Amino acid sequence: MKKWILISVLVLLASTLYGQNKVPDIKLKRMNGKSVMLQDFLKKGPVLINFWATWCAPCKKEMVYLDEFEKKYTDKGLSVLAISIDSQKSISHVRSYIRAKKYSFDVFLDPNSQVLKKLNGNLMPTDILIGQDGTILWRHNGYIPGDEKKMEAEIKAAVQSTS
Amino acid sequence: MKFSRYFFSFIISFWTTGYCQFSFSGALTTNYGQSKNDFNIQETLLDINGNWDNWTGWIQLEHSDPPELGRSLKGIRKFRLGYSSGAYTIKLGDIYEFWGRGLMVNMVDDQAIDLDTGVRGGLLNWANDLVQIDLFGGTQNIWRSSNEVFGFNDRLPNYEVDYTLYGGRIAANYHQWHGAVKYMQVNEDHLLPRIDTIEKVGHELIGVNIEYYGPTTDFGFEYVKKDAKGFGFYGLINMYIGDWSIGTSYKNYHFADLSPDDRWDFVNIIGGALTIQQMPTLFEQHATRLLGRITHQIDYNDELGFDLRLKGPLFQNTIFSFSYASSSRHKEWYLDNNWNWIMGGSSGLLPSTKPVFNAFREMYAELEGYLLNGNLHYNIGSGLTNDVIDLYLNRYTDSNRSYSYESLSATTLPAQFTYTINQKFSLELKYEYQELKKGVNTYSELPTNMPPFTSNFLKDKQINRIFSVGLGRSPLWSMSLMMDYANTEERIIVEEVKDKNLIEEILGNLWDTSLTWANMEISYNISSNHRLTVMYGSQRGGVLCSNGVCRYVQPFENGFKIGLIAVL
Repeated sequence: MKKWILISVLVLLASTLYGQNKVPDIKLKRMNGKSVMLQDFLKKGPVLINFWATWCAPCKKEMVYLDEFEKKYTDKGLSVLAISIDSQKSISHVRSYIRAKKYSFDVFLDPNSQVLKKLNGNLMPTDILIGQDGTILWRHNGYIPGDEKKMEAEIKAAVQSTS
Repeated sequence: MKFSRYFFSFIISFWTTGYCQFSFSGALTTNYGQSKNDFNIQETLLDINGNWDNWTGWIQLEHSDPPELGRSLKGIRKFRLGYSSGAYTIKLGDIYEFWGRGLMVNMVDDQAIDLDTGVRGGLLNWANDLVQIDLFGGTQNIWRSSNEVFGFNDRLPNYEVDYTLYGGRIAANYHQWHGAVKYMQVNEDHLLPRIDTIEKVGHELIGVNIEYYGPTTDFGFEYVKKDAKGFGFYGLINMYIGDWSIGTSYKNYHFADLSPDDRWDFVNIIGGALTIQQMPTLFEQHATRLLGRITHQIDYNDELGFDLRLKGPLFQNTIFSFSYASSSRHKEWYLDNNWNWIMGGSSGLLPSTKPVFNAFREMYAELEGYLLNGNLHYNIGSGLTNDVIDLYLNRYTDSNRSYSYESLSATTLPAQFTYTINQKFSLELKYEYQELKKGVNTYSELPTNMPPFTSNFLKDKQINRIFSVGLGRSPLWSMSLMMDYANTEERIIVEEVKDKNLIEEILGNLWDTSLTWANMEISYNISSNHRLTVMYGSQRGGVLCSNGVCRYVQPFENGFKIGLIAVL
């Protein structure tokens, strides 16, 4: 127990004071099997990455707002990338769900959660807002109704700092 | 380790982040739990990702004693070094790849059910817009729990198989088409505990997959041949008409023919599908607890099936989903005059609905949408499940036809409502109801003393109810109270009087809480990078399923759990 507490305190201290927040250039796989690099989206402006799954109820509640932000801020350079971590068991549901909801944001697949792990995701949903220089500006785990207010405030600040 | 070593490590971290081009990030997940029935947990995982120029690195440290599921570990659990330049990528260490639909290669790390099919070795990848080539090689250690081996324990795996794997794939993209051919050779060191011998077995797999992704339709298939006789085939087609989609998938997995007695014996029976072959399951992945507890356990060696899916908007803001799944074994098994299992007639290319083929069927429908100007989100479902779990007897004699099997049938109604009170507060209600019949069915043409159905429960059927009420305060905290109630338990469960927690004691004034598991959970976002969760109470044990693989999780009685997630 003592070792556990000590490890946790040291890491928390290091993370709070000196953690760096740059994302690596990651390859993302579209539903049609083709790959793109994250940097291609960052050239245009800030990027909001959302990790979700078709079996995740809070994820689906939050997606309504992701679609709203994509439509509202895409002209200002924002890209919303929804990365599904559905495994082979439910991956066939992804396109039909997005289509039924008429969502317009970009959707990618991460069936064995390797992109999620690279970006230090743990819970569903995980949202990561990345500035044009690759710095993580804000991140959030889970979704409680009302969280979208904070998300929009962060997006506004990000697009304003870009323009 | 002395404190000075921890401090030295911290100084190094500070210096490298402050003065070098090397950048790192990471995440800490830690869980601690203690219960009156000694289901104690102490588990910490620290993931660190590093980047420098074209290099990436990942290391996962674990300190568990014991974890919730799996073996204790104090040290490095996973690591990987990667280099990427132009079209080339090299990875050394623990790799996780997913090829096609997973019929040959699907490396997963699912800690919820202690399933890890990753490979420790190396991967070389070359890719341009048209062609991709992958080559990998390495070793794999698969741990599982088996009562065929001394020291069986639900939480701690007691049986290990070692593999050495080499594989390669050439994939191509052309407009909306994608295809690949692949090959893998696997050498297995299989311990046979009855004779205390390690049997060395070689496996060879060849596969192909083709997919098309168009604006109004997508379809594809994957075929894998294993050794002399084993094969797996998966196909799917989806059509999109406006906002509606209709789809169907088909699976035909036939890697081994195993009698009902040998079907799940992966210790003494060699061959069959490999653990790296985590294939599509073709039934609904349920997020609700009661449906999750009766998930069909897929047999990758011998399963034939299909599913049908329909999804689309009914009216504004409401989505309707429907799925139907059916599967069975390829052949009927029956007992001959010497009471040996013999393979009988075939089901053909479609699954059988006869119990002697271990038939499974499930129908699920769901409505998801918004009411009250978007302030009320609802999700209402309905599931009908029929599953033949085990075949115990199947005989044809001159004078009689008789068979008996264990089955499960359930009607489940899950519902969830989230009401947004104002910009900060929301209320969540969840209610699940299930009527479950599980037991042994007996059929005989001649009169018999055996009843046609003997329930596994002390009553004819088990009624399960889950009720949860929660309050959320965005973006800081959320809390919930959950009650999981059953009216009866299985006969084989011999349990001492359940240790009631304070919540159950209070609820005991309203109803008999001897079969109620209640808990309260609070989550608090300390910052956008730190989340603390505290749970007090009890959690019902049972089967936990993920990716078609199931584990039994023992109950957590009258205790507390603390969880912390921190992102560096």
